[in-house]
Amino acid sequence: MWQWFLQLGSPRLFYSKTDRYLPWLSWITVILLGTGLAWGLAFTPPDYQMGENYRIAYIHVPMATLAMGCYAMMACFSAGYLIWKIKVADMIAKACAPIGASITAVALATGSLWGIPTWGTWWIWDARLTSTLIMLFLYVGIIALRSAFDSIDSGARACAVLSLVGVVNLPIIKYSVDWWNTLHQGASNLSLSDTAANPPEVWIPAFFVGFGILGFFLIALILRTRNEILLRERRAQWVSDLVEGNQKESGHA
Amino acid sequence: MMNNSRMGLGSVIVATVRRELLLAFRSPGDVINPLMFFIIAVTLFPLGGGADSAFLSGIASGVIWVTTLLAIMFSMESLFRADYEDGSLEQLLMSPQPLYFLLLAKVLSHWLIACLPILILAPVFAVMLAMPAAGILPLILGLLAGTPILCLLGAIGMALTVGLSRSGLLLAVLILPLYIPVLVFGTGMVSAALDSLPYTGLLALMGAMLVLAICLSPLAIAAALRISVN
Repeated sequence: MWQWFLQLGSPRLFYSKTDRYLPWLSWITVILLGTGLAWGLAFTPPDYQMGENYRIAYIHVPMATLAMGCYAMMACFSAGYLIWKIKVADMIAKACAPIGASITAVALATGSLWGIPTWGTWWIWDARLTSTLIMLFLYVGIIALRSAFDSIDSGARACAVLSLVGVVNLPIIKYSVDWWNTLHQGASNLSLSDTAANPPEVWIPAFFVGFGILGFFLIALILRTRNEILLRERRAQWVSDLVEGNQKESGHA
Repeated sequence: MMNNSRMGLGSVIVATVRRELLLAFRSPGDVINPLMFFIIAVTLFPLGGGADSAFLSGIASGVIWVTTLLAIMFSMESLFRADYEDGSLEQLLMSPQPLYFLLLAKVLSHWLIACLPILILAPVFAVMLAMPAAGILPLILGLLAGTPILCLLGAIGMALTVGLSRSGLLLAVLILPLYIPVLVFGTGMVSAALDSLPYTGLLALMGAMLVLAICLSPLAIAAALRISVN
């Protein structure tokens, strides 16, 4: 297990290992997302209060959960890079930022689409909405910081420090926004996550879609990381061998 | 050099603070510009939003806090920029004294230079923005505990971007999200006091954040400076 983990730290082995895992992961994701979405969006009975609107939650809830998970993941890989100087860890952390930002944006957009028929407004300064918006700002800051550096190495270390500062601050921000919101207005009671109120035909598809979206996230992350590996290792022998191999293959075909 | 390394920690901190203050008073722009920014920006709000005193008293604490926060952010440039350009930042990183305390001393002097004048003028502007008298003490206490946090967090952002040629707006994108808790609790103290609720709990939270910031942020500043200086 440990050996396997260490091997993933080498860009070349990460590339060849993920080459083997990717088709499997893709098939599982397609099956999970396909069943979950078809089931949840077309076959599950409508909610007695929210009608058809609640189906947005099948996309919204996994996205909102992943948005936070992705930040934690980015911070872990940043720490891994700072402590052990694992290059792949930085490449993964770099891939996390734009994916996390898009996921957060999707979570906010689906949330406001859900809000207009349910709450009657696109946006309220609810604690969850506000802290998700702030998380989007943190992602954007990390992307902006990395793009400002010319040297890959300095940019990587600076982003790692900023991610760690952000991860210490995130709970404080979350807490302060929660407190701020309870001062100014009553918290909106989102009972969607309350599974006890929901029958199995509602939450089983949600489970499928949730893992499907997680799979999609991992695929996107791995593909971005592989691109980054090829870009940074383009002078290495194994990359030019790989390119030559591909060219030969397409020559035969 | 030998003699220098035997200097006690206290005298090193005093020497650092004295150097920073001397530099600031030789180029008074570092002291005056954040203050002038604060004064002018606060003046813009009644001009843009209307001088109705009921409206102004509603936004007074928010305006003063947001303007202070922006003034501190813009003032951060003077904390490391000149030192980076003339090489004294490298000397600081190589000095035999613990970097942690040197950085704390630097941030402390920056607070004295850029924040203290704003703090002194803040109550005047609170009155001009029609803030009720009950809100003024919590405003000052909040600023007293909160502005050092803003300086410490701003120093992290500045240390990360000091090596880049143009860092002004990037700095804003990096550190403004981190400023949110201080803003929330600072304005919260004032509105709690205006509703005649106790605000000491919030002040204690602000103090806790200050302690956390003092403990951790010099480490992040040091790591960031090492990256920027290379």
